[in-house]
Amino acid sequence: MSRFLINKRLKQFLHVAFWAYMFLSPMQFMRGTGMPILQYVMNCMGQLLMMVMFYLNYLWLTPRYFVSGKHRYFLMINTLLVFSFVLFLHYWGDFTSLVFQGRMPVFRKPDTLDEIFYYVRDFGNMVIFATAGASVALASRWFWADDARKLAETARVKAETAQVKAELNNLRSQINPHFLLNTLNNIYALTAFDQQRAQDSIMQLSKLLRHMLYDNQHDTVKLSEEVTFLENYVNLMKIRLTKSVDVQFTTNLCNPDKHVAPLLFISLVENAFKHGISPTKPSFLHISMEQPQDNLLIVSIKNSNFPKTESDRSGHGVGLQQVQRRLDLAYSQRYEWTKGVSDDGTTYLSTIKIEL
Amino acid sequence: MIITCAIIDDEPLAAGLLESYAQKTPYLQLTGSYNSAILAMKDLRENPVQLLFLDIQMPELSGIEFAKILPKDTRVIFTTAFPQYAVEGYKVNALDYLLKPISYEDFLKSTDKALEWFTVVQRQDTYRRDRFMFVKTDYKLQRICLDDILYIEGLKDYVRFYLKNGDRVMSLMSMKKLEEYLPKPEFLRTHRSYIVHMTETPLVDRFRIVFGETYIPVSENYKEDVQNYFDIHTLV
Repeated sequence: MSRFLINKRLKQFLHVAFWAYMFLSPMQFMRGTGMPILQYVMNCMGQLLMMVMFYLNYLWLTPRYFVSGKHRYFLMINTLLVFSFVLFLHYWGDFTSLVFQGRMPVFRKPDTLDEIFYYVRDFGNMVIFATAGASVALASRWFWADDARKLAETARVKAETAQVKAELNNLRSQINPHFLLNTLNNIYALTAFDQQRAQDSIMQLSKLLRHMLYDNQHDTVKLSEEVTFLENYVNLMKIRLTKSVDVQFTTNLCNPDKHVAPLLFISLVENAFKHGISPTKPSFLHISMEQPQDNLLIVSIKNSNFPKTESDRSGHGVGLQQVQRRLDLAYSQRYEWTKGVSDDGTTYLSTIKIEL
Repeated sequence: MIITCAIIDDEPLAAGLLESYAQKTPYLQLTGSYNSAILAMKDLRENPVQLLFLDIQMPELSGIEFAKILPKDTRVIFTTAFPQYAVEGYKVNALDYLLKPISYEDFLKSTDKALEWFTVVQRQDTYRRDRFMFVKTDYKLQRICLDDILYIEGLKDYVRFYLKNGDRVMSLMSMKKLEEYLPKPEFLRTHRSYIVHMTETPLVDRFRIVFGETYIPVSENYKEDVQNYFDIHTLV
């Protein structure tokens, strides 16, 4: 913006300097002629009209008519102006001579050729300044267009950021429909065997949905709420697994009222269930959330690793990308995320440390 | 009739629900319930069941893939929460398709279909083995040996058997059922109104089958099978 200001100052200076020169330079011919100052001023009518011509074109005619494509109006108005100004100057010259010499100027003989010479000179001046005004207007328009483009670019980036934010909001509020459907189907089956557990599960599902639908409207939620949400999720997933799968969820929070961005870890837990559990081989899934000091949260998810088979139709790391994006947005430069398979390939570990 | 069945579903509750349904259905005999297709593979190959309730979406080995390697006498009813797999399911010749959550009513509708299917199969096997059937004529049951049949004519709700000894036997039944029960391609439908005992065909004249004075037509709908049969049995 400062470059913009400097350019503006420079422009103003150039305009003033140029017109000062135009008005003052004839003074050198006045030396020793004893011409009264008033007559000099009256003689400046020529420069004044050139200036009017210039600024009319620069500020009004070019942007209003030329740029918008109304070239015919532009030419017509200019022609009209030039002819009327030339005529006016002619009579104005006669008028000044009459006032100060009481007669027609000495150097102007009543000769038709001379008359024509003056007409031509004034006409040329007017045309030159009209052209100059239009040219400067067009040139600066082209020159400043760069800055205008930059302004538009800034606005566009802003709009885009807003859009990305909206999209992220949308992403994180998305409930995996498969999860919902599968859980409901399992609860349906549960009602046939264990009414108490079925009731508990419906309660957990209801709380989980409430958290996903409403609590996550806020930028942050209490750590305790987020923990309960994950606990509910894990419990609901458990009813779909055989008893032989070892699922553990441990928490150790020193200040559960501390706030955290909502639904950050759910994708990771989802992934762990998707890829960490085998129906035939012994499997485990251990989730721990620790807050050893007030502003530090360590979430680690450890599970047995069963590489995807070809028939597995699950997404291709979309979940992980989403976690990365959300972490970047909410805890830019304030988080550490390590993930990977252990050396022997049996365990997958994902650990996120966040400075709250 | 008793149908043997098994269940495969990676979710224990879903499998449990089907188990309870199978147990309260009188004509079903549950032989096993598995949480993985891989665990079930050995059992189901050594002791094939007639009917398998098979979940589609399972880790390691999907139901669709598993269905392709099953013994051919085992019929499959797919169970899944996602209807988008229905088309794929029918490609592997599924008997039916159950969408979760599965109510006992849905379950029964499917197993009734299975019962009907296996009843037909059982009759086919019986007739093929014993080479005779009883048909109802008026208030009596009359034995008809398959080897005695020349051809069968359909007459609205009745069928008429033309036998080698010149006898004709009328019985109340549909051509469609009869066609289903009789062994193929020994007996072929040649026309809306005719089933022919192909091995007894004496003469074919301009693609009509001639039994003495009777010319049996072959209609467009059934032409392909009949043509095939003659092609294979014609010495060239």
